[in-house]
Amino acid sequence: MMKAKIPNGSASGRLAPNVVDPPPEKIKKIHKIRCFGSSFPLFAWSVRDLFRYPVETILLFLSMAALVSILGTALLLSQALSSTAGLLLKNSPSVVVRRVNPTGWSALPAKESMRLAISVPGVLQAGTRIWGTANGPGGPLTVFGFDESHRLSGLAKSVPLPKRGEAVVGTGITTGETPEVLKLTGQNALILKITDTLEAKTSMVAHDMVLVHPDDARRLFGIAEGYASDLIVDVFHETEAEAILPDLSRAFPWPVRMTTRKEAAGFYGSASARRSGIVYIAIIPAMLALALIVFGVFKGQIVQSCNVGLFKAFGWTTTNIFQMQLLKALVIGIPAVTAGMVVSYGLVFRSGTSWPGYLFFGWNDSSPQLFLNTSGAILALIEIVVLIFLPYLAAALWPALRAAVSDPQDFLEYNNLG
Amino acid sequence: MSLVCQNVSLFRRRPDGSERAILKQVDATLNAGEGAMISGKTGAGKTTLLHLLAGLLRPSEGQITANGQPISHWNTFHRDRWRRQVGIIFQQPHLINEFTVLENVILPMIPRGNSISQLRKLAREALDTFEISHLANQKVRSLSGGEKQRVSIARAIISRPAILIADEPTAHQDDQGAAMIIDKFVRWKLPHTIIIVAAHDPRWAEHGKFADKRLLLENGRLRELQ
Repeated sequence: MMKAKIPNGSASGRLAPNVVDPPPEKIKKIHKIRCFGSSFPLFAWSVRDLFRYPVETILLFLSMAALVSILGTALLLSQALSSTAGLLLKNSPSVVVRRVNPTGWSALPAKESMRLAISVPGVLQAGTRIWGTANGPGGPLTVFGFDESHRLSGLAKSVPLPKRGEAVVGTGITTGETPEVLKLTGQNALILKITDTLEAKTSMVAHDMVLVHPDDARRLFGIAEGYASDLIVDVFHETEAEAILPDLSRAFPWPVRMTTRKEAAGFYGSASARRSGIVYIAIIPAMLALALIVFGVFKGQIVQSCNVGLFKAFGWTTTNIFQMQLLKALVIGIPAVTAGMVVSYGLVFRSGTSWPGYLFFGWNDSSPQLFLNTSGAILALIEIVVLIFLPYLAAALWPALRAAVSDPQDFLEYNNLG
Repeated sequence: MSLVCQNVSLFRRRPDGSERAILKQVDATLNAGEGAMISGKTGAGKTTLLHLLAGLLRPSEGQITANGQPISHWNTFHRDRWRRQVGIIFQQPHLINEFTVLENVILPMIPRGNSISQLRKLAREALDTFEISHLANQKVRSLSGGEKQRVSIARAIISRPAILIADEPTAHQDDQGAAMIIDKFVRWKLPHTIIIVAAHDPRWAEHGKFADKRLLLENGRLRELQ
């Protein structure tokens, strides 16, 4: 078996004697060393090759990064919305009961409602809430009477308790001329001092929420002492929530409307799916741009096929050519995907970025803080790789591979060489 | 080292579907230390024969062996590796216009495990051989035809190949340049190398020292001239 000769000696103007092939037992060891050593010149050559066409290379990088950031933002938003909604719903009550009448809803008697709910088999505990919608300086707001009993759930544990005349507000609340003061108008008007802001992680549901003392909430909505806006019920087993709804409904002497946690999850899920669908429509132009990029890369590689013929004529193997093309593709592709993902992560998760909230919820001010779990992040990354990176890689490698496995003569005949 | 053509034929398909024989039952034996000169009219098949010997093409019939190994029957990977022992100078320089002279010259050495400083040193030596090292960082498109030809020779010899195959290496040279190139070819005739040159150029015949073996290609058939 003949081996490639490594030049040695100085031979200005002369062909130096070739190195004698080493004994077979040493070939494997030498090959290992040379394989390691040979990768750097090939890498340097590949990078140099890219920068022979700096404008094309930079444009390709920017196009890829922009595409990844557009698609990545959509995917991360979708994933994050789902994760965040899941986190919040985990802390919500099993069933919410409201007393309804022909004109809408009405307050229900707090103690009697709780007693009736507890009497239903399968109910673990029941509590009441005082809340409603009031007008604030920037538009309608959700105002919630918050006391110690509401701090039992995981997310509300760290929420500060508002005293009479005080308010704890969500991140999206717009105040009037005086930043520390909030004026609310419902059945009655209230002027409250803002003492704190809710944590960013609750902003998806508490974005436009104001927490006040229950007495202030009663006054604002005109709810008498001993009455509440709705009733919250927790059940022994979450799977039984829907099964006990008929019993729960029969337990009350007035008409009620009940919402389970599963229904609430469905609401968030369908809202998320609807918004994601809109985003995917917006992605169609981005995918057309990807097709253009892939076509451009593919065509560029075909034009360079005659170079591949020349490389092969001088002893480059198919493996060498594949390595070079792969390195060239990765040198652009990996930083472009990384940059695109960093941009999308920043757009989705950086607090204070306004457009995701506008896109998903129609908020005109700052967006909610969203969260992503590990599996969601990995899924988004896989989708990016499959949708953008693999087509790009195929376009970069396929023509070169086709050329590399053919006889060099075929490609030398293209001849756009000097 | 020996390079042997055994009954080698090559056919090409015409547009009407019929086949034309470019080479017919070519037999030749080239041994290490020999300089072989192939002559013949334009279109006689000299370039095709050189490409077959360099492993760029496969014969339609017959076989080509190197040291008894049937290289023409090897798979692509092994033939790619084998070509590392061959330095080829094409009739056209076949340089890559976007590359500098230095980059064109080191092209054959990139995948062979040398460091970048070694590659630069080897390229400078090869360019020095033809007194064109001052062109190292120039783009190829700015060179004259003669300079391009010398760069392509430097590229072929940078790896100190065991087999050097040259197709009209003095075609674009003036008398002084041609004399220098022929002189180098004579000096490269070492006991371990085979040098094969195809040329019309009468200056090779005038030099007289290069060719140990004179081969004439006529009507696709090769015969040795005494």
